[in-house]
Amino acid sequence: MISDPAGQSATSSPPQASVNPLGDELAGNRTAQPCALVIFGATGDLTKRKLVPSLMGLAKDGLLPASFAVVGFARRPWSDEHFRNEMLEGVGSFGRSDTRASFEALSDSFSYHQSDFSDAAGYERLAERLDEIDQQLGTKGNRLFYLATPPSAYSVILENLAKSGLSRESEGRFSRIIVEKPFGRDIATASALNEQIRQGFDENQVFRIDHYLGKETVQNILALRFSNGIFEPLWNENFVDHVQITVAESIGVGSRGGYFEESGIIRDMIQNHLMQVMTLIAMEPPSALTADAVRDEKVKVLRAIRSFAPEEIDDATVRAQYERASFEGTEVNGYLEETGVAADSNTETFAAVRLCVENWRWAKTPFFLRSGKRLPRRVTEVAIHFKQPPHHLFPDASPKPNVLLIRVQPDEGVALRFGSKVPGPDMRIRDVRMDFQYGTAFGAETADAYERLLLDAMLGDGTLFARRDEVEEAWRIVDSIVAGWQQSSARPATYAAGSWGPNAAGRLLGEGREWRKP
Amino acid sequence: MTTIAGPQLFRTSAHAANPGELQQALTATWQELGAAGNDVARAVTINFVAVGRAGSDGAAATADMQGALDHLIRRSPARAFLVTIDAAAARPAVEVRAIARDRGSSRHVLLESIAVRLPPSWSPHVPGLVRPLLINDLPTHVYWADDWHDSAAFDAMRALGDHTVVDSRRFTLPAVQLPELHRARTTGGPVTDLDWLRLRPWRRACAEGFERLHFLPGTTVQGVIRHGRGGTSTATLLAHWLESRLGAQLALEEGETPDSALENVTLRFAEQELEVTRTGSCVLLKASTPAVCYLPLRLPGSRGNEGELLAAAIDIA
Repeated sequence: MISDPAGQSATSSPPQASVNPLGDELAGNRTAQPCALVIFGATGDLTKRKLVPSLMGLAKDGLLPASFAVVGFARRPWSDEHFRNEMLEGVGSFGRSDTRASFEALSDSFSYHQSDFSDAAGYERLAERLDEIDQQLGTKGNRLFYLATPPSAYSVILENLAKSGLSRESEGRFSRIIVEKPFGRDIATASALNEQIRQGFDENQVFRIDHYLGKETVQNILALRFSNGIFEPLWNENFVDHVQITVAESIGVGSRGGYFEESGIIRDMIQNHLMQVMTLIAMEPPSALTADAVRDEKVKVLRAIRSFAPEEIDDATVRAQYERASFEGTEVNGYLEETGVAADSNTETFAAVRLCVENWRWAKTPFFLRSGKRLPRRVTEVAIHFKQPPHHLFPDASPKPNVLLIRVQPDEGVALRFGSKVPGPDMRIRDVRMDFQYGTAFGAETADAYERLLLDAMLGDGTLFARRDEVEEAWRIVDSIVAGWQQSSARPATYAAGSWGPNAAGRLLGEGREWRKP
Repeated sequence: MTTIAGPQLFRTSAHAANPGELQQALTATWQELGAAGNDVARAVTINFVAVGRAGSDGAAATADMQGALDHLIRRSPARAFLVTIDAAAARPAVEVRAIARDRGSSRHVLLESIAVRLPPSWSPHVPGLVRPLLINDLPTHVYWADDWHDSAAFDAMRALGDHTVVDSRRFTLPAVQLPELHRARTTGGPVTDLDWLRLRPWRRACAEGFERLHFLPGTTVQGVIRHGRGGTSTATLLAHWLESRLGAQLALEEGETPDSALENVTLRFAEQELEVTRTGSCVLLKASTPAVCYLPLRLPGSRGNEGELLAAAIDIA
């Protein structure tokens, strides 16, 4: 006999207890505990395009527990076989390379449960089915519920999960729920939803998913700031002039006009994605990389942003709608011409907001958040604009301020713009860029954000999920903006489809600053 | 020069050189990358040195490495030295080539490959040949792609890098060499065995099996590991692990399949049984106690691709 080839000593344990002598093989990495995942709304696009392909990505990487099952819960009269075929098609079309084989290996673990969301008996049958799966596959009573339904169905599902006892945790068995955005449409509805969730689930059982937080480059904000010594000393109002966060989409509202009329870009993008990214940029270093330590710091950022008074809105925000224009060689509709949009709609397709984080670190550094549809390209980025040097040593040169650019998508990476001497006898300065490309340095195929988030939910790690107080604080700020717009008699500004937004957005920045054109 | 699979990748032609002209060959490669007016930037994140030996048929142990490198650089762009010691080589021969990703007007170099073929008499010169061309400030990973009889040569190569990778599947005397390898781990920098990574699905399946069984410390476990005709070393590695963890008494059996993979592992104790079997790209776990016979579980098998395993080994390091 020789010692362990992995170089680790054998696990010791109490002499009488039954033990797994190889248990460290299961606990040594981020493989989740055995569990059954129940997807409500399993016949919808999200399940086919994102959830199941992401699960198979996890399986490919050996990160799914061996004892694992998926139960699709929906109204349509599908069989297990039909459900599996649909999911296989989804994995083939939307999954990472080589994940079809993973699905084929695991397809027996997929089953379908037909029921109306409001049918209490359907939940009792679900509980029985899950007990059977525990016996057959060893999922140990652990449940993860995923609300992949329209928000209108959340209430009845939450109520039935609570009534049926499926939300209860006991004897080391977990029961968790993943909720998709939108988390309400204002602070009142968000609080009501959170209150309903609380009837069945404690906060540590709840995982509010904002897929932006699952993106590698968003997580890299934490790594960039807190694993390097050079950035954090500069990360404050003494050195940072302002921060621009942009989430731009080139598409219009398309067939989602009816939905978009109810939300607008401020609810659809700024309340969640942009504010989440902003909190990661502005937060203080957490004491540990634990869910509550990180989220405590994020929520402090939101609490440091005052609600807007109605009279401040015109100065601190810009809203606009795209107009008919030639875009990418085609004449595209203006927003008011889109299907499902009212002819006199005031719903904004572009918004820019100046937020002031009123704390010691950021007191004089504004954060500019901008998002819009029908902008020139799909891009998400954070640009940290540093201040000019205090003394201009090179009078003939006019270098632009240094910018640290965090590109979330596409071309994920980090770039630093700085001035450099142009070779030659004169002291001429030109801006150059030092560029780190994520895809080049770490490979082209990165996991989908949902992979990371599903795995974290299975592991019970809420770091990359929004906590109740974060969601409600973000709504508090957004509600004050929406209220100001509603009280204003001015209509939204306009911008040509394919442009970077209305001219009015420029005045938001103030003297000497420009919006980036990423 | 040609564009290869993936519209964004560009591969230069091979630049032949003498060992003393490696720097010039690298320069020529870079000139080719920038010949169309592109900006060229190095994106490599590691130095990688693979050392192998040509077989009697002239095939080099490192010959497969070009393919493995294509996988490796998806994860870890590298300056790579592929060193082959070849008894049939009359004099040293070197070829330099590069792969870059096209990004508009710029090219990011993902691989600078320096393939070196040397007669055995040149073996002692390998570290001196490689060391001056290692890129400063990048970690160096050495891959010993060979059987392992000559500890001095191994140690000399290991001293070049921060991390050493071996593949014990290549070992011809595993009963002797695996303990040697284990001893080598206790000195110097870290060593990763690709075959240990390859065994991950089997280790995991055995661990999953014990989740379902009732094992008391001190229980006598007996078992059989059945392997393909080239799989003695892999089976021995798994047997050593199970012996160290379970105190198991294990027999190795050679099966009918010609490859080096495991076929089946069976462990028995106290009327309980755990069986792991290779089925296609998966491993199938069956576990039973006197009271319960669990439904079989399928787990993904090893991807087994040398390049992906190398990338994983480098990630772990």
